[in-house]
Amino acid sequence: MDSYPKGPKLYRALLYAYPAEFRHEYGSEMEDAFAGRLAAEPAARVWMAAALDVFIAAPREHFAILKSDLRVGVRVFAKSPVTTFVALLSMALGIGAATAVFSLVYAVLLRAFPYGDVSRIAYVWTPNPKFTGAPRELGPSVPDFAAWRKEQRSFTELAGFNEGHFRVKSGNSVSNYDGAWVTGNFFQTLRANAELGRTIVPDDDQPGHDLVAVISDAMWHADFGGAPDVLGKTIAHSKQTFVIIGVMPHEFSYPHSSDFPPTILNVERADLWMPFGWAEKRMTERGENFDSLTAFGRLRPGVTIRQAQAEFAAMEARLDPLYPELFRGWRVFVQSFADAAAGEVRLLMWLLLGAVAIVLLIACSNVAGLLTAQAAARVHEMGVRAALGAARGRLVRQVLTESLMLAVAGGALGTALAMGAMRLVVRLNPGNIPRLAEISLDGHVLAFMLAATLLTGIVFGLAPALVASRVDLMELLKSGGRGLAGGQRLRGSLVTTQVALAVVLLSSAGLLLRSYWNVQRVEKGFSLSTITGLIALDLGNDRYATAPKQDAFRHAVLQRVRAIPGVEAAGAVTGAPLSHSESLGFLEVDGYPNSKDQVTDGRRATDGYFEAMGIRVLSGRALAPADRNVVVISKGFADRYFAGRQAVGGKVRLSHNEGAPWFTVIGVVDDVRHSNLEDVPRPVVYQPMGQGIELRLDVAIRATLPPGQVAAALRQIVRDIDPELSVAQFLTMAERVDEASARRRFQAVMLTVFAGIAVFLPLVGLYGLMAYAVKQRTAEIGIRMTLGASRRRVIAMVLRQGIGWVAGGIAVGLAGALASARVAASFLYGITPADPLTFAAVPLFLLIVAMMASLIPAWNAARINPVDALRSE
Amino acid sequence: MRYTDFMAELSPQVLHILLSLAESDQHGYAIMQDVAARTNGQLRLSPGTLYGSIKRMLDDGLIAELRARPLERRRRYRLTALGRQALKSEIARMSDMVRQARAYGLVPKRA
Repeated sequence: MDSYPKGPKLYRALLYAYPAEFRHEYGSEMEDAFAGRLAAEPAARVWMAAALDVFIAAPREHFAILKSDLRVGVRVFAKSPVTTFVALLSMALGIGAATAVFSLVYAVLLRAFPYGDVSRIAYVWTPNPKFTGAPRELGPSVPDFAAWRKEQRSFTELAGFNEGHFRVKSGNSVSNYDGAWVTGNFFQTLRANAELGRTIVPDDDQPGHDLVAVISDAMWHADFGGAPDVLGKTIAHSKQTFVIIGVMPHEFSYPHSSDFPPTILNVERADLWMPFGWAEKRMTERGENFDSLTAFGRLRPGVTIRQAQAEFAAMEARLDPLYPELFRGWRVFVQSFADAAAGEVRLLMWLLLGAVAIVLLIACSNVAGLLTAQAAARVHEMGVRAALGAARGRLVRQVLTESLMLAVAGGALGTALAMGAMRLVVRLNPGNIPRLAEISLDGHVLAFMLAATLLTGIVFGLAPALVASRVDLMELLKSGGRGLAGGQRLRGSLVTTQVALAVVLLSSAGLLLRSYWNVQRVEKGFSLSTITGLIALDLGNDRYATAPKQDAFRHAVLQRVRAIPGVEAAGAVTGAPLSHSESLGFLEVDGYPNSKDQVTDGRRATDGYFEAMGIRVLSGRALAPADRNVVVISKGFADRYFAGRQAVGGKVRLSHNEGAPWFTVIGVVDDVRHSNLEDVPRPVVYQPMGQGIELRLDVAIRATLPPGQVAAALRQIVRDIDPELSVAQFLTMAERVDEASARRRFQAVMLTVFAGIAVFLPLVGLYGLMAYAVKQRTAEIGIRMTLGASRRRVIAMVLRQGIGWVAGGIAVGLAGALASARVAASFLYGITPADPLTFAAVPLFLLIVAMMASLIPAWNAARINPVDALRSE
Repeated sequence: MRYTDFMAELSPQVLHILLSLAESDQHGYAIMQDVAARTNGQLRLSPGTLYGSIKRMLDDGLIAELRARPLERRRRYRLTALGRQALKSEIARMSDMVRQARAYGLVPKRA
């Protein structure tokens, strides 16, 4: 028993599972003991026992250390509650903001769509450069689509749909549903299966076949009480009867507007799908009027978007000459599903991610500064532990445990904050960010939060851990154990960094706020108090199919609206401003060098419309009830086509036909921001309504009554005249402006909140650092005062130090802010990226608040009693 | 931690280590062999468990480390007064239990 066999190497390696401290203390004896057992017992059993031993005992030793570190940590935090509170707040704000933004970005950009592998789905659009102002996302004509489908090779299947607005009779109830007319392979292409019954298949999409319909889970429950015998029942739409063949699962509501760029689709969610059933003629004739649809497909394996683009462009080049000469010019634009759904907001998401990353960085460096201060104050404690033999690694571990404690507590608080913030974000929803309303704290977001928490805990813990553990015993003894100035330089540079980051965020927020303000202030051309409501006349039946019938209906409505006491003016138009409805027409202006396929925006309006909408008549007169063959033009129209001559009395022709009649210009009205608030209005021609069939009627009312009352009255009037009609989109123009600027408001508010956090945190850090620096310099200040320095000079001296840290940050930050503003130039409106006001106000503001944060420590410094200060030395 | 805090919770390992040291001062490996011998090999302390227990017993003041003599690789441990007291009251508690159990006829008669 007196010979000590050495343990095998493998066992020594196993010992590394134990904490270093334990290993150093007992490692060699454990090796001996193991070797002893190995000599006396069967090897397999000893190894088994050893493995089990390590598995149980090593975690126990680690846990024991963790427990004691946690105990120390709690004591440390309890001893400096203010620092702890500020650090927790920083962490909570940083992690909370990051989590909220990540959940947003995740919902908008990353979450999977329920349509199979969406990375293979692409849309095929046919933009036409001739239509200025029209989006790229213009659906192809039905004949082109039919031709593509025959020869294309890029997609395994090519499907299409058109939005449909259905007024459905089922049983005794009548309800409105949005949905789509679809091709037979629509569901197959989306890899969507019915929850009950079957989906539409190619055979259903033949003319003359039974009329069938697939309904949504929501419609199934609303109209049929979720009864299983719904299959085979019928619904009626525009005097036709459709047999229900299937019910889609709850999560399927494609197509809906939020999967597309704004204004492309006017469907909140789809609840009803019916096959097109095109007749052969519709699929071949390319006249002046043709149907179009939204086309999408699933790319064949290995085929890229670019290859599909090339193939379709080549096909379209052959189809284009089949159109009448004036209707040619079609191009092809193949777009991935994700780009269509998020293309526009992707940049905004990156902006928000960038902003929140800055906030998180600031929070981290702020906490690092606070902990470094704490660590410097604990040099004594660390020194004693080091003197008692604690290894440096052990001290680092202690401090890291503390910072992780802080991070975890901060992360928990941050999650609570994020939940609140997400509710706010949803409320701020500008309405045109796809799937924003779906953000939630799901597993992915929580995983992100956890990773962010741990990472930040380690990142901000490392600096103070190294400061704390770099104990120089000799130095400590020389300083009398009072603690060292160590870390002050580090903290100074941390404050400088934070200020620099804050400048970037604050300038960005300033630029966005200025842009938002500019958009708000823009001359809109209409009155904000006007109330609008939309009556859809597209009933698919013949009730409003002739001009006289429509005239009678319109007159009846307007007459009764004008009779309401308190209504000052009322009129109707095809497409109120900011209602996402545009129409283009051919244009020829007498006495102007017209180009052959010249087009203009056109609207038709009734008498009273300009007055009701608050659009000023600049010269001539507004439309009158009996007007025919006249037009009113916008100022922009007059400026372009009647430059240097009298517009009123001029003649225009709204057709490319030689025989078409000329219309006389009777008036010029102010420009109106029709399509959005930010673009310069395009020229518009207003024709008197009543010379054709309208699919929609936008009623505009100017009244001294509250909007709700007007809305109720209009609803009642329409119901009295035709119970089958309803009024939608009841909005004041102020609400439409609100809606149109919601994205800007969203951006500006988000960035402003982040900037607020970004300014607040460095100030707290600065204050703490200044207070600490003054304490460190107590003796020096005492000597200076004894030697005759005035209080004012002491204050100035302290302030100078604080401003020095801040000024450096401002200088660096301004450079960064200018660079990032240039990157984000597309977010700006009415200002340059180097907006002088913003870039003057931001540094000034930061200097002032930094000065304020430094004043209290400076004031304390000035009140130092020189005698006391020197005595305490 | 004071002795009374863990009065009721001496684990079998701790109890056996205390018992081992009651006889004489020992080093870790000897404790391990002693415990194995005394329990007929029923309880074999593995190194991690053994030194983990020793560490905690040192922290709790149940045992003390004898400064190693020069040239000796192993540290020896001795029962402290507190350790002896803890062992005694644990044994007392156990014999009390055995006495009660005997009254119910639960303890096998000596062979």
